[in-house]
Amino acid sequence: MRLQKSNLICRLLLGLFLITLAPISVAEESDWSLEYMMKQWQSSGERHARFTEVRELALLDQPIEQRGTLVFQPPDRLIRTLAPPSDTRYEIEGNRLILWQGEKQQTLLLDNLPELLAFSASFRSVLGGDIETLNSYFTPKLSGDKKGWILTLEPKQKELAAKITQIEIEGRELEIDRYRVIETNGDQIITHLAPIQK
Amino acid sequence: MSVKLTLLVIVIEWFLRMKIRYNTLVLWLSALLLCSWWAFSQIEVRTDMSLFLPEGTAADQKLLLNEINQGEANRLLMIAIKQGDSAGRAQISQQFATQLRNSPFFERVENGTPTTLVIDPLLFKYRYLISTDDRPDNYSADMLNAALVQRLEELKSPFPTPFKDLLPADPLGTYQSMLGSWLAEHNINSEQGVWHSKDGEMALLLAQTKAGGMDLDQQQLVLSFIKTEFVRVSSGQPYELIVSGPGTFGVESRNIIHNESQSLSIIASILIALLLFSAYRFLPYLLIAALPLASALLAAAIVCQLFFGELHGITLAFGITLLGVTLDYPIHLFSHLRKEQSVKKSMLQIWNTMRLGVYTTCIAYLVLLTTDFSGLRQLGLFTLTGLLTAALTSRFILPQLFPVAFMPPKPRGISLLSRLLGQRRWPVLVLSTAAIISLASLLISYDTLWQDDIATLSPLPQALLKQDRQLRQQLLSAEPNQLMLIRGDDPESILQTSEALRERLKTDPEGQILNDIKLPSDYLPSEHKQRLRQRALPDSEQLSANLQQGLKGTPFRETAFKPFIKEIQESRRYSPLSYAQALETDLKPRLQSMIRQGPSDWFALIPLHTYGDSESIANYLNNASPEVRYLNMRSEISSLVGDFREQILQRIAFGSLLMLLLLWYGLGSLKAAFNTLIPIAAAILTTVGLLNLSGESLNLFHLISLMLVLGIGMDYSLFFRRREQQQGETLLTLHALSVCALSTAGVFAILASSSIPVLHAIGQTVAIGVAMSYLATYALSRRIS
Repeated sequence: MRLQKSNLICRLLLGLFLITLAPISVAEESDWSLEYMMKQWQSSGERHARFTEVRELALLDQPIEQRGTLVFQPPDRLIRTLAPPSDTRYEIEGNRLILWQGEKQQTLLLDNLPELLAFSASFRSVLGGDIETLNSYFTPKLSGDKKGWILTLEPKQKELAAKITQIEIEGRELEIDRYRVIETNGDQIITHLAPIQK
Repeated sequence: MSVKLTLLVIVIEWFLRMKIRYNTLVLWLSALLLCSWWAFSQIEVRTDMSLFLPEGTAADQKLLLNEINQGEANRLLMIAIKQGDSAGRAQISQQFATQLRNSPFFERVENGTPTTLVIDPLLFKYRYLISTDDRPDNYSADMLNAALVQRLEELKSPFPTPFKDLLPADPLGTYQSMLGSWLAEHNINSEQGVWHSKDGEMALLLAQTKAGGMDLDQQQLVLSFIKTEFVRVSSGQPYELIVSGPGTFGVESRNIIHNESQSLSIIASILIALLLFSAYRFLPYLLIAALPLASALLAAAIVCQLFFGELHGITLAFGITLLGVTLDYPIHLFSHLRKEQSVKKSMLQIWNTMRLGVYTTCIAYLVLLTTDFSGLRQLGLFTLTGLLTAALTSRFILPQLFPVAFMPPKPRGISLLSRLLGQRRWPVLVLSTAAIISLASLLISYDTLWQDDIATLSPLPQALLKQDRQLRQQLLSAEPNQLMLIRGDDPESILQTSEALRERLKTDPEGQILNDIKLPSDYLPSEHKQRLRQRALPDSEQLSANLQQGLKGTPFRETAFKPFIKEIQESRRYSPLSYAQALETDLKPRLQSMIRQGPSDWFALIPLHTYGDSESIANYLNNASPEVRYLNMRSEISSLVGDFREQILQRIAFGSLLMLLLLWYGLGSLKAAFNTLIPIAAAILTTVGLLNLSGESLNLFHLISLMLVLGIGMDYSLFFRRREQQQGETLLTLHALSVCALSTAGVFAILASSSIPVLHAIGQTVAIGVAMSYLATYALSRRIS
């Protein structure tokens, strides 16, 4: 008994020791961390990008493709405009989602729909470098290095987890190239992004 | 220690010098004590207000009155959280809602927090029979194609749509549109995930209590629970709580009435004590005068409890007010006591007159006993018992308190009165002027004499009512005043009537005013309608062919919609979803709040959200179908009260006739009886006229007060007309009646100063009435004799 107990304490102490060491060793290995990226994004200001989105759904014979532009204005405003002939535009800011169809405007309060709020955090808090919000909705995992990285987001909320298995964001340095949503039924949404320099 | 002892000695000495018979006093007091012990242990004072609404005679009225007490709308509390920022309020709203939901007081508590879409399996199964869009060409190739194109657009949304998983079985989006059409609360403004007012200043919640809205004791419990929980949840932060709704209003009103009547009755008691003391300068009288009143109240309470099995708080409050007049009996005795004759003999001399006064007053309260108003019946029995007890104890026990050789104190102010007695012209002058003016005013504005809207009796400040209206608008909850009533033998027939009405509203341009109301058939179509819709569903071959054609030009896989074809086929064979089955689904709260079983049949009470012109709405609905009726709670109750007032007026007329007969018998001549009644009639008429002149609209409480005036006036008239037994007795009678009138008018003038409409009405009427009765009986009886 006594032996076992001291053994347990030993292991606990060792564990604690390792934990305190862990972040230091990561930081020493490379300074390319999620914290670093987020901090950079936090101060990147307004950004514009062209996007091409492909939806591969089990219901469909062929994927749906959509194109358009994305504008992100810190801290949390995102505007998604579809290329003509579509006249649809989504604006999301705070807890509000506004759908524009031509001149017609429809407002949806996201806090009535927790899975949407969580989902919107997957791109808004990444773009705005809001690590706190990101962490509250997802378990983020960064792999790769500066030249090519993948940020995997796993939903924490059960509402969103019921629909989405994970979200993968791929990029190089501080640019995001690809945003991929994998749904629980196997459907995928893949968005390619190309920054527009202003 | 020694100071206390000295004080005790002084008190004992004072008692001993009171020159009254202690054994009788002690016996009486012990009897009272015993009775009050019984009363306090046995009597249950009821406070729910439903007893004090007239009982409806028509079935609709009964439903309505039941609705007032038990109805959904009256069990709803609107809660607002103010101050702080919206995020903080949302946090508080969440915690608060959880606390309330966990308590045993509420049926439901909502704060607008969304719940993730939960598919009700039974409703999903029946979607093709119960959904609201039932166009005949729903399953054509064109319609299918249009639906699929729309579904494709929904799939393109950057957000995951909750209906995507349902798509293979429901490409038409039937379930989706069905849910959409049900959600009225969807339109309440929301911020930070909870309901907020549109200006974003208040977080809002709705709570439905289990207790009825008129069950004030329960509502009071609920209210204090809400308040303590809020303090706990907000723990020192500067948030502010507002609770509004019928239950709160009832509790608030009761508190206001309670507090104010308590302080007023303390003032009134002091006034009476001062008056009695200055009239006789003899302290024991204060105690002695209170004994018949105390006996009367106790006996009345006990008899009511034995007879009705309960005692209502309002009966008690009014009863005490009305029985206050029994103080007059000892006063009569005090003023008529003389050195030369025994107390018993003095009592005997005034007893004949007093007795007749008591009997006639009793008739007035007998009238109350015959009404269709259980609260007033209780009040009638209460006052009747009280009056008789007070009269009998005054007659038989009160004289026993005095020793054989009692030296009565000399009534004060006799010299002043004797001087007044010489003045005979001025009372006549004052009275006739008042009578002429008031008669004229009555003739001019008789139509507006009565006010039957009980809402005007509310003691609540206007600001509270305004706040309630604002919250109601924010929460989109209807004023519980305007309702539509549908009756039927069973839920099915109500649903059919409701469908017919909806059809009419859709096609008829005049029906536009009501287009936004929610009918029960908007949630659940009748079984009949469901069968019709089953017949319109296409068979498998037809549907497959249509679907194949509809899929052209869309990227959807043909095999994707097999579940759809299969489920349409199954839907054709289901037996329709009945009302009883639907109560097991998410529709339960909606259906149950609308369709309910009455005592003899089923009915639906539907709140009318519209703020349109109520008269044209009433006309439209009443002509729409024999099963449909428009109800305006407020005017319905007003008309109930109006009917009741008519009834009580008739009974009073009948009672007056009885009084006349009794007086004829008692006084031995019809002329004497008339002469006794005429001054009272003049006094009452003048009182009504003066009230009218002062801009007061009369209500039930004025009427009941006038009955009290009638009784008091009768007493005055009889005493003033009493044949003098001994030299100088006129002066003593005048003294007695002056003390009576002054004390009664004084007490009721204090009531009249109340801000509570009911107390104000009673106080004003009785104060004016007593003054007029005193004047009239004095002036006219002198004249006549």
